[in-house]
Amino acid sequence: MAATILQLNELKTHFYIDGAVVPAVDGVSFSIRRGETLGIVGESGSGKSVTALSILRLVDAPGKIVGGKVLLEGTDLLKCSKQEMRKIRGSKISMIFQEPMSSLNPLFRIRDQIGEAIGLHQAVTRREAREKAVEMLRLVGIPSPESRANNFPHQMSGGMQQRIMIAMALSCRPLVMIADEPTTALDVTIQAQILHLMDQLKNDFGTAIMYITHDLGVVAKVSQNVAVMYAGKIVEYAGVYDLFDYPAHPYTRALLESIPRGNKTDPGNQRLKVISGTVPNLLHLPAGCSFYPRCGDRFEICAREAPVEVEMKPGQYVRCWKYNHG
Amino acid sequence: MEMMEPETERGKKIRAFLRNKTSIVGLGLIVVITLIAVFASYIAPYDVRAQNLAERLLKPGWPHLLGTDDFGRDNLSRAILGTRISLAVGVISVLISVFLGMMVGMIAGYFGGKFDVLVVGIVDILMAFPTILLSLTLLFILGPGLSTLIIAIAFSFFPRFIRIARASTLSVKEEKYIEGARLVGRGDWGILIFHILPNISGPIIVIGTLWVATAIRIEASLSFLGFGVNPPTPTWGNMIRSGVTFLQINPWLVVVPGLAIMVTVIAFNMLGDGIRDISDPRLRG
Repeated sequence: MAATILQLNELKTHFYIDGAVVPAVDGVSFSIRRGETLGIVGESGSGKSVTALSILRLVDAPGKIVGGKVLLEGTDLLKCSKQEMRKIRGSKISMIFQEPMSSLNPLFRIRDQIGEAIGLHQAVTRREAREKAVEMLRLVGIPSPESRANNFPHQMSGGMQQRIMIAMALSCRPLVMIADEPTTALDVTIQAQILHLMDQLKNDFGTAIMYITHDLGVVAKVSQNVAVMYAGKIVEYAGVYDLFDYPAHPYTRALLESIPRGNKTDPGNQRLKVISGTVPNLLHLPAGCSFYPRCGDRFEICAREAPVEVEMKPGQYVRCWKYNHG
Repeated sequence: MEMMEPETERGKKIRAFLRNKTSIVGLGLIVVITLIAVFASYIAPYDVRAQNLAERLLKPGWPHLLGTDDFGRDNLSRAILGTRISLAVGVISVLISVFLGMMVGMIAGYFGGKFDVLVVGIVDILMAFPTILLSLTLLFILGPGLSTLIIAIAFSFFPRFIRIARASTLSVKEEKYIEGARLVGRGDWGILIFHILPNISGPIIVIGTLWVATAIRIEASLSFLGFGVNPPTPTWGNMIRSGVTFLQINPWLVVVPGLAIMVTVIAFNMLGDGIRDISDPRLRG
């Protein structure tokens, strides 16, 4: 089994707003191995993006990382100095996010933006950085990379811009690449291309990927393991096949059932299955299990106490009283 | 089949600029004025200090093409030399003001905190005073002279540029590509210099150019009031000051420097407008 590259232990990131505490990330633990893709699924507000930013220590006031460990090849990133973190960002861990259009500085040419990532971490001349940038463009499948490298961001399409972001993210051969909803803003055909590209590059470069999304279809396609997040906690963690074949947590099951599909088995019932209720206000979390108000399988203990994580079978964990009777 | 050269962004901008008649006229005028200032000593037909009391207060004619002043000094030569000081004061004071204003504004806007609160407070107070009053105050404190004049004018513009730089910084710092820069490992100062600075420069260059015109006017006003550069060194402002006494006898002593000021101010306004027209809409893609 490949070595563990990134490990989170009980990471807690809280936001302090007007005297109240919002536990955006509340005790998140998982690990990613070399070459693995971990899919992180959850609705908006579940804490997925804050987790990613916490790993890179880019959480700004009023947010603060208040507990836990983030181990990159054994080194706790939460204990690193600012300078050490700057060396790590972009070279050991990189991130791409949702809107490539706004993620690129409109005033700089493409080759200079990729060149920036390279120049900050590798001792190269400007010319060498530019050449490497063109090479990266070629690797991410941009046609005529030499001439396109001289373009400005607004001269490229959305799909190409995201490829450029990927090029920037992988230019220093990072150990982990965090992708925060990278294809949400792109159309479906481009999405398929980008996913394919990321998979291919992952194999070529040996980079582990942490893929954050709310789209279960994407998760099914790219991940080896999946963590489902709800209200700041991971409620289920399993291998991708196990998750889709035997979803344990009621939330996961509800998510899978809510995917619209042509209902061939029951043509009479064409209604969309939704999860009743709404995501809880993190300022007023219910005592006990956060999913309790919307859960179909409720027990008395669910209202009183928050469930702890239990290993259902090797590699599959769930946070639910249904599987933990005592 | 002919291969087309890909159009560069800069090429597009330069062509757009040149298509605009106002900006060409403005640019042309400024080039001429600058050349006059640089080569003033060579162009001026007479030594500006050469007094010729026999030929005082002459109207334009020959050989004194624009007449003479009350000491018999050639009006044209004095106006030409005056270009040097007016242009120098105008441009240098704005450059200083922009440079310092951007530094303070960017730091205040980016880092926030107590420094920012302090800066905003001071800027608000300073901007409550008319610009001329601010420069006068500083001239009182520092005493007359060319360098103090430049400093005084720079000081009076300083709050304005801080405000502009700070506001632009506040909005640029929220852009996603700033976070992107952090993600590749840029530190705060790197972000300020390489990402924020270029993105706020556009409007500041435009405003700076327009304020050069104002700086020239203020220099003229201050010299006119007697606080700027003192005779015998000619500036348009102090030429007007000396000339006003003789308005009835030889109005050209006032008209010539006055026209010079007007043309220069208009030229800088045209240039500033031209730059503004090509910058903002282009930047939005």
